[in-house]
Amino acid sequence: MSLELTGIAKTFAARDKQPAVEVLRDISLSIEPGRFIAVVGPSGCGKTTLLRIIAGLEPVSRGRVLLGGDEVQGSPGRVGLVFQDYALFPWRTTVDNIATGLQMKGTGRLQRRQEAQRYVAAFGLEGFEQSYPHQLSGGMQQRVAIARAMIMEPEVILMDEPFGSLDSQTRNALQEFLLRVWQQRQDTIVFVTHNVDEAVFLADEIIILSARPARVVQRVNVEASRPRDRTSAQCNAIRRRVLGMLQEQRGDTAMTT
Amino acid sequence: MSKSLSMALALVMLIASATVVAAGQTRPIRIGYLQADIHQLACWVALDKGFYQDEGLKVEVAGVFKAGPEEMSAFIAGELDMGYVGEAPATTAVANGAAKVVVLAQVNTEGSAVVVAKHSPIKRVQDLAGRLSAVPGHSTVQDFLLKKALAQAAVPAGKAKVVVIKPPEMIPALRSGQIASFIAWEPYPARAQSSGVGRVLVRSGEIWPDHPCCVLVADQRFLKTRRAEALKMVRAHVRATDFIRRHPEQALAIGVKYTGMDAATVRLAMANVKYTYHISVDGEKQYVRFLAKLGYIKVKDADAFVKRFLHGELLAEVLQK
Amino acid sequence: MRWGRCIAPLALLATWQALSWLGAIPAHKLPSPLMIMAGLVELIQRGLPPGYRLDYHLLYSLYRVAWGFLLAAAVGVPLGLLMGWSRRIRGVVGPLVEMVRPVPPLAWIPLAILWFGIGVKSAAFIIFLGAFFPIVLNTTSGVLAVSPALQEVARTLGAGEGDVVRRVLLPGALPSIFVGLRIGLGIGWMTLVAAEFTGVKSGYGLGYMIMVARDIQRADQVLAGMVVIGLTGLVIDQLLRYLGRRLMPWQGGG
Repeated sequence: MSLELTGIAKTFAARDKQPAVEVLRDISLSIEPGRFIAVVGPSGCGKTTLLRIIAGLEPVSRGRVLLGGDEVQGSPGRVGLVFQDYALFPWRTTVDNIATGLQMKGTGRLQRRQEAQRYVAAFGLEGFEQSYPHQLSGGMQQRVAIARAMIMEPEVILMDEPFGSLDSQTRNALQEFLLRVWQQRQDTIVFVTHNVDEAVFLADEIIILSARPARVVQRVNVEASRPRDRTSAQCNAIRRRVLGMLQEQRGDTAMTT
Repeated sequence: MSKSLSMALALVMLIASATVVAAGQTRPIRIGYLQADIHQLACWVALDKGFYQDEGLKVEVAGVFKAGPEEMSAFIAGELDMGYVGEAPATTAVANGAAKVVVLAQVNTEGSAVVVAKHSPIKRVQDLAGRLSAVPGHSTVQDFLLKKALAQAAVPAGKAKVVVIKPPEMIPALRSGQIASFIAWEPYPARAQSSGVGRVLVRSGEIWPDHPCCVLVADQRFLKTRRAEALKMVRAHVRATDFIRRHPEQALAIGVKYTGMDAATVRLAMANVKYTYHISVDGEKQYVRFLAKLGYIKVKDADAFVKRFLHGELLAEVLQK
Repeated sequence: MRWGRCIAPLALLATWQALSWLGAIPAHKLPSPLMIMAGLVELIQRGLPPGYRLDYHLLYSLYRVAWGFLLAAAVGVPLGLLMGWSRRIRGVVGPLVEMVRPVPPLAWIPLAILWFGIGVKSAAFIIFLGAFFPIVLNTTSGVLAVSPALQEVARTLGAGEGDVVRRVLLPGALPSIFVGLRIGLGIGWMTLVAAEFTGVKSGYGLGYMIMVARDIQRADQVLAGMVVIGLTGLVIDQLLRYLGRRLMPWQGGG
């Protein structure tokens, strides 16, 4: 089932002496199932707003978001969400955090425990089943958060700079881990990042947004074969291309302000 | 320069103020009385008619209190020299070793009443059996009076239930039917009557004629060092008490002025009070035995205690002349 | 280590006792620790008013506080949750709460007696007023402090509004709710003692007992009553803390 964005626009209304802000302007995208899409753009351009709109958490000002032909808003459970700061429930153990969505769905206690336990094993969280989030490292917390999203078998998984606050070693390890899991499961992933290296290493396709109001500037196919070598000439070439386009966007902003 | 100047100035002021204190040796006599307690009318008469000035006394009202125990606390703290106060709180405070005061004169006897709701079926004290009555405190004269009344009416101990409620809350409690009766000092019975809530079942004078109530007390140290002034205070008190008896209408006006209540209520209250300066020795003895028996105070020899506590010689001196 | 904590209070008591023996502190103003102990023993064995023993005073007071406090928690926590959850409810109820809150609970006593009489209901009402506001306000601020991201994650995981309130806002606000409950119980306990000063139907209550001791100028028993109130408050607070740790294991080492 594909994700279709047609003519998305978003303007935040004026409030408390602050003028109205146009964040997104006419974004249209079509994302095929099983694709790993990275979204990059100048900071503050509206990447997160775009994700929130796809998740159905934010109404659009104009345009439509269709998931397999249905309006996305008000269809919980079909879109998974992973935040940079993990957003785990502090009062739930690893197993209970992973099983949250199943509980909301009304799955029985025993069954959801068993299901969650499968993710614990696959995500390398054994021995921490009964730990609370504050007892886990950042990398482990993010694995719990990804498991919590994936256990619902969502049609799209949205990730908002998920590895942004991890140290570089943990970050590399998690990138590789995420690719392994994705290749097995064939999820559709929309991955927002400001890190071009990360986008090039992970994604099938990179979408470059302009400065605010964001438009789609370019879609770059990453044709490098998997498994990828971060330092290969091919990756370097794509990276250079994407960075160049981003620089242009920053230049645009500098001129308009 | 300016520093030494200001220091010199401060020194001069210090010496000046010290000499003023030494010259005006007699600091005013600090007295206390109870707020709106119609028993203590003599105090207000003496203040209002200038009887203290006539004696050449300088009197300062250092405290107006809501209840006797609070006034006794002020004596303990050394804030008062003399005061108009209930004999009950004075007795417990002295017997428990907290305050060092003696009684110089009676202020009044009687002056309390048992009040029931206006349309209550209660006609006699016997009818209080099985019903809830309020007293202002466990060690109060009123508690003693109610126990006495019940005993006189042959109501067995424990048959009538008793609850402690502070007097300001008694009339509302009676109005809403939470209590069947209360016993309190004037002006509460008068106020219950004039507000149409209650009627008097029995006056305390009928339960125990001439029972002790309020007294004029003096701090012992004050009495020792300034006996002459204490004597003049007693003289002013005697004069004020006589004034109430001779000119009740004028006294009533003073009562209205000091309590803020209407004349009808004050008249009703005054009618229930016996204004007298003669110390009720027997009454005090009975009362001390009652408190000791119930365990509120530890006094082995009630007669000896009363002899020390009641200091009638100043009153006798005043009355001789 | 444990003994180390006792040194300062013990030294204070010893100094106090010594000063009393030397006559530097007059007993009628501040009785010595030993006199207070003796007063306490008398309260336990004989009671005040005589026959009204300390254990019953304590039980009656606890009973009144339990009523008022449980009522305050039963109303305050749900109301606080609603106020945190809905901006509209907050807009309507908030100003009302803020208007009544500054009124000292004791100012309600005359009305409480008119409305509820002089029994347990009246005392419970006063304690309710003391405990209610900290519970409501802490619950509300606890809810408001729950990260919006948690609510959004829950929604994408299929949570309805009821689930969000029950499974996200409530547990998320729980630490703050517990702070509110502890403050509320503390204030309720303080309020109770003063509420009992106006008189009690049963003839029992710690505040009432202190009032009787005051009326007969027994400073030692007044202080003994204060000691009992203080210690009881301490025990209750420790119990609540323990309960909090049991209910919120995730708060532990963090």
